Amino acid sequence: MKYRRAEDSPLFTKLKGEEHMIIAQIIANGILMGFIYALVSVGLTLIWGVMDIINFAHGEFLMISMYTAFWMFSLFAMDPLIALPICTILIFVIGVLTYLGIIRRVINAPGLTALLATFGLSMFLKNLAQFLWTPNFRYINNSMVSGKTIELGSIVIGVSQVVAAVASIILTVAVMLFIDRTRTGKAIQATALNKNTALLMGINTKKIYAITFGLSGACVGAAGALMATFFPIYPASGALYSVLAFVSVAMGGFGNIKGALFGGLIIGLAEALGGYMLGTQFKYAIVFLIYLIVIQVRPKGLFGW
Amino acid sequence: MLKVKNLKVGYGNVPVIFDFSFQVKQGDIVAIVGSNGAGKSTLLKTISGILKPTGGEIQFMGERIDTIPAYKIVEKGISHVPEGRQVFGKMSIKDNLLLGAFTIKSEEQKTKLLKDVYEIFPILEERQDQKAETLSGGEQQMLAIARGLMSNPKLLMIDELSLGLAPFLVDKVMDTLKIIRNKVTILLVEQKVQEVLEIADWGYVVQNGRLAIEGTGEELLQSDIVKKAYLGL
Repeated sequence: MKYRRAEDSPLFTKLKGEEHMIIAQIIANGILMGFIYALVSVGLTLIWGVMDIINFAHGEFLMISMYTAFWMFSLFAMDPLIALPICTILIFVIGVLTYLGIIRRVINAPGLTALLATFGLSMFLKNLAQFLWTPNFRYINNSMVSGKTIELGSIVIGVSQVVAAVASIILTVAVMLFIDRTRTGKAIQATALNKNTALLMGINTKKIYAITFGLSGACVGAAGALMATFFPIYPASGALYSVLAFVSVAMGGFGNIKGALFGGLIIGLAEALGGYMLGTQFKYAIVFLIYLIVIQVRPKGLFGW
Repeated sequence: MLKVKNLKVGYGNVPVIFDFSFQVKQGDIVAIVGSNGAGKSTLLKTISGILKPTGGEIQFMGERIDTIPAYKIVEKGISHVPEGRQVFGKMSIKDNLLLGAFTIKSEEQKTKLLKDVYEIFPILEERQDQKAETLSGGEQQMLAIARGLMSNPKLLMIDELSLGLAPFLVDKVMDTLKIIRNKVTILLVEQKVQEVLEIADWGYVVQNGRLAIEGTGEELLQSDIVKKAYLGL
């Protein structure tokens, strides 16, 4: 559905001629995708907000999670939705290890060092995946949610997208509440606002950094398992979504979780509506155009301070 | 309670503190005064572990603390109110205070500490849900001191209490120090020499990273070096 002009999709043949119904359909699809983009973006914005580091390997974390879901499915017949906690925990651990093994050593280095380190990690993971699992596209065809649809009036939506969107909303809200309400969450906020003063409060900021990287990984790990139910899985499958996540994070305001949520929604909608009105080959052009306009008008993003 | 011996600290290859020794006795208000760039803030940052010394040692309650990480020094009973207040502006006043009590595990004790600081600074209780950035400079300084007290410290170190405050506010904040000195030993680092030496039991004058003179607050105020260099007499 995503790769064709919307009106060519078999889902819509019965709707032909009912333009406004199609628009409603497109908007529904856009919003559903938007929530998933939001979850990916929340992970990315967390690391920026707390550590001022852009994690270029974010998309590769997503890819590893999708492969994890794939292998759980093909080797153990485990449904991606059941494998979701495994993917989440695995990428949490990978996030923590990335901090301990790489980021911790470069975080105080000048300028671009940390950025280049995550870029290098991204290249490494992409090529490692290609080496281990070939560049072939893989699909999880018969998960418990794939191929099923829900009809709401004349809008038809895929169950896998609905499940992914609902789970993304729940997880995004859970991350927000964690940051906002818990003792560790408040320590994360304090560290983000002023690292040295956080140290003076007795907060182990290195531990907070590790937790932040893990939490970011958990977000993208969960998103990967959800997306594996309806997107192809291949070594570069994370790259596109990490670019989209960069856009939504920049659009929402770097480091702002609420901003990432709205940024994700805007991208989901822009992609769906733009793809429908101008043709799918231009859908990302629309996304980036909106991004360019937003950062011209509000350079710090919609919610930036 | 705090003993600093032959301390040397620098940023990169630039030495800031050359060979500084001093001590703080329990129950005292001790002031370290000196002009801008004398190394006073560096000294406090080194005691609280944010900077590591290149030589010498720091002892607190008989234990060496210059080798342990900053976040553990708070647990030992040293609280550092940093220069420029550094409140967490985007967070509520209550959250700021609770972050001050980050090392306190018992909820009961946290509640009691919060009650105690609200007693000293009633304005903070009135505004506890407001964001810290909405407070005035003097109120932010009070919040920073209150936050420092929330870790239930034995030693409270305050860096440039007077920075950016109107004179009458400086007096007001100094008055609160007279109240809290019953509970905690205080180490002040200041440029406003007159005001702090008036309340200090013991003072040290630092010049260019070295000790110039020490004595009781009164003695220092009477000394030629302080009169000439800082009071313009």
